[in-house]
Amino acid sequence: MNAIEVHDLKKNYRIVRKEPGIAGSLKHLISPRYEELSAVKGITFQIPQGESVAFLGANGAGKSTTIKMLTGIMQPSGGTIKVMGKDPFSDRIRNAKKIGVVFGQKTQLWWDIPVAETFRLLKKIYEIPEEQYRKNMEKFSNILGLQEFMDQPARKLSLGQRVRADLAAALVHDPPILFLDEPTIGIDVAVKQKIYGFLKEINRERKTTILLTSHDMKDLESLCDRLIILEKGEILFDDPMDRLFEIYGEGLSLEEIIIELFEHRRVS
Amino acid sequence: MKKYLAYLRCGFLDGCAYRQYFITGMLANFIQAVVLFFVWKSIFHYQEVISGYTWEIMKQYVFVSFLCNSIFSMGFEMDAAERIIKGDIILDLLKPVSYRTMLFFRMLGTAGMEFAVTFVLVGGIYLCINGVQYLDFFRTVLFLIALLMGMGIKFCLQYLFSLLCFYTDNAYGVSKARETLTNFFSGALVPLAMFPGILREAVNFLPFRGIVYTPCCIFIGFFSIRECIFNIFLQFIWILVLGGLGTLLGKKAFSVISMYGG
Amino acid sequence: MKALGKNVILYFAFQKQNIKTLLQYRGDFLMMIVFTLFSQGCSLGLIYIIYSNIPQVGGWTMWEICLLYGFLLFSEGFINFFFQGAWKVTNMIYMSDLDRFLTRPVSVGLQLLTAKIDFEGLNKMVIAAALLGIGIGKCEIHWTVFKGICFLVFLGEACVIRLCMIWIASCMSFWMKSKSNSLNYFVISLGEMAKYPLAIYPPVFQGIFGYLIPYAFVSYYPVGCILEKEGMAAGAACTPLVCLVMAAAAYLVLKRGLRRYESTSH
Repeated sequence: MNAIEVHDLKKNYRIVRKEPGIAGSLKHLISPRYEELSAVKGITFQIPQGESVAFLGANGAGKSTTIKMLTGIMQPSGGTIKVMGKDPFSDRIRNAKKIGVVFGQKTQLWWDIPVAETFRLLKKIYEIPEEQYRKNMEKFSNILGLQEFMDQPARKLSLGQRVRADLAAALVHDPPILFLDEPTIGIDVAVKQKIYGFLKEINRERKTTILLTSHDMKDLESLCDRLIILEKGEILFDDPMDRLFEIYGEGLSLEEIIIELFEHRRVS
Repeated sequence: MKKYLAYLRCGFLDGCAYRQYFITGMLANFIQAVVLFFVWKSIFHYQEVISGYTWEIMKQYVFVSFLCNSIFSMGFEMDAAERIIKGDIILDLLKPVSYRTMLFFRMLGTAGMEFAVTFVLVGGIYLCINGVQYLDFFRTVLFLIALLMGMGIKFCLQYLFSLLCFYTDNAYGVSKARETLTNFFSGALVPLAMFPGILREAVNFLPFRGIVYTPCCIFIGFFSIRECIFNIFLQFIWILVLGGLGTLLGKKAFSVISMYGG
Repeated sequence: MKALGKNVILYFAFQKQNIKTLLQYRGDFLMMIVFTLFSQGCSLGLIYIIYSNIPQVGGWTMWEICLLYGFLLFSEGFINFFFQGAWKVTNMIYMSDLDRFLTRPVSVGLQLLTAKIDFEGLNKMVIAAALLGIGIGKCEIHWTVFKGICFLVFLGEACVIRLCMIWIASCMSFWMKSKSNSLNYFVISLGEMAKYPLAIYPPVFQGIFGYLIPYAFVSYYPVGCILEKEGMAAGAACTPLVCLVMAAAAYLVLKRGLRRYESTSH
């Protein structure tokens, strides 16, 4: 069974075209001019349960937009999405129970309350049974070392601590799918290793489907089975990780691969 | 002098950038003015003269008082407080300009923007309702002088209140309190002549009347020329007193900074 | 029914955390109380001064005006204390803080409404209750059990209508995409008008600020009905309907707004 099915997914943003100055503002008031900017231009893919997939792409390639549509945050402009058989936007609440989300740029934790309280709130929000909650917390604390900052509010955590806590918060309700949007941005190597080790274990043990975006390729080699490269809202490459190296050999950076891919337009 | 002009320009641009806050604040005051306009209208329907005011005078008073109250209303307490709480004020104090003079010129720049907006709006409504029949050149000049003096008093008060932020981190509360105090005791809402008994005597000994009531009375001809001159002189005295107080308290407050041990 | 139960439990769980947060920052509570007392004192002083010169405004005495004032202040305080999050919607949209709410299996409305708490609201409600008490004492109202119930229902409806007004105004940010949105502030400032009987305003004003933005049903009709003034009963009878319409509008605005939500970070 496919955990995620995406068909011809599109997202357009409407951007205001406004000339500078007061005259421009007035003109805009009378006859506003908009410009359509398409961030995602009709992409199609399926992800089976238990697979770990990396979304790769430069800034503005449409990775975050895609993730935001898959998690039900934004409504697509066109196409269909099925996450565990349901449309994530119109069935948002039911979808939210089945997914865990980590945004590297922004914490999901409550800013001002101690991390321990956050988890207690999450237990209520997701209606997690006591037994499952206790077991998960124990496990996460051990692997991610949460206990050293459990009584601190999120605003006082370091970036590395924050992402670890965010990760635990995204998994505490045992979601079958985990979305990670640039989870390791700005994090030192030691913590990165810890996080990827943890993700690998979760993926193997619980068969959690993992969908991860990044623009740093090196991180992903060890974790992900499959690679989807996006560029300007289109899929350039969608194959098992190994295939990329078969074609281009090791040691190429993402930028170099994208340039190569552009020249050949859809290798596979 | 040149550097102060730079601050003036900076204040004007600030004012333009934050015009939304100004317009929001002004809108609230404007609604208040409109409400009072209709309240008075319904009152004067039953009673022709109240404490020496007729409906004809009141019609002018409501809008002129709104004009006086709106200009210079975008206080800098919040901004100053933020700088104080974050410790950025040290940067201001390190510059080779007087802190208060710098604030004054920035405010003046902002007031330029406020004045333009308010003047067009209120002037338009005033003329619609009252026409030009009450305008008198000499009085208008005196009115503008009194208005300028009133702005001076307002600045001194805002400066004093902003110093409070050295002692509390509730900047919003401080700025709100200053606004409420000014609105009530300056005559922005009700002509001070209508205050009952002792309160009417008491407000004459407060600086607030110089902000709205004095220029208003000059404009609508409630004061004789002699009274006008006397009241402008009184405004001047208040600026000196409040300015001196500001210097004194400023010295005290700035010494707190070293205690924080920045 | 089960969903409702869960929402109620979560409401209290969220608010409990908000209170804890507030205690953490612990600004000057005392100072805040003094400020509120002071500014309300000034507002009431204005009414007192007006009435010290004349016996009535638009056929209403000072104590009757006190009741209008009490209704408005109570609803304002109620929102500040229980649903202050309605004020934060604009900022949350601009900062894309909504992302966080949208990935949780709880209604976005509930999460937004409980995003903040403001103790000043408690203070306002106490002042309002005192005003209502004094007003009722001085107004010679012929009380019946039915009227008593009506009074409480009206007060509740005033809170709901006003909450919806702020909510709708705040949600306009989904369409405006600017950092701040003064509409909610404008709507709350209009409450100033409702402190005096609607009849003193010209018809255009009445239409826009009494019915289109339904302030007439927040204080004017309910209080008029309690005081048994002429022609108030019909308006008062409409308040539940207005409540429903406003609540439906508030629901729709959020639903439509979320469709436009673009989650562009700033």
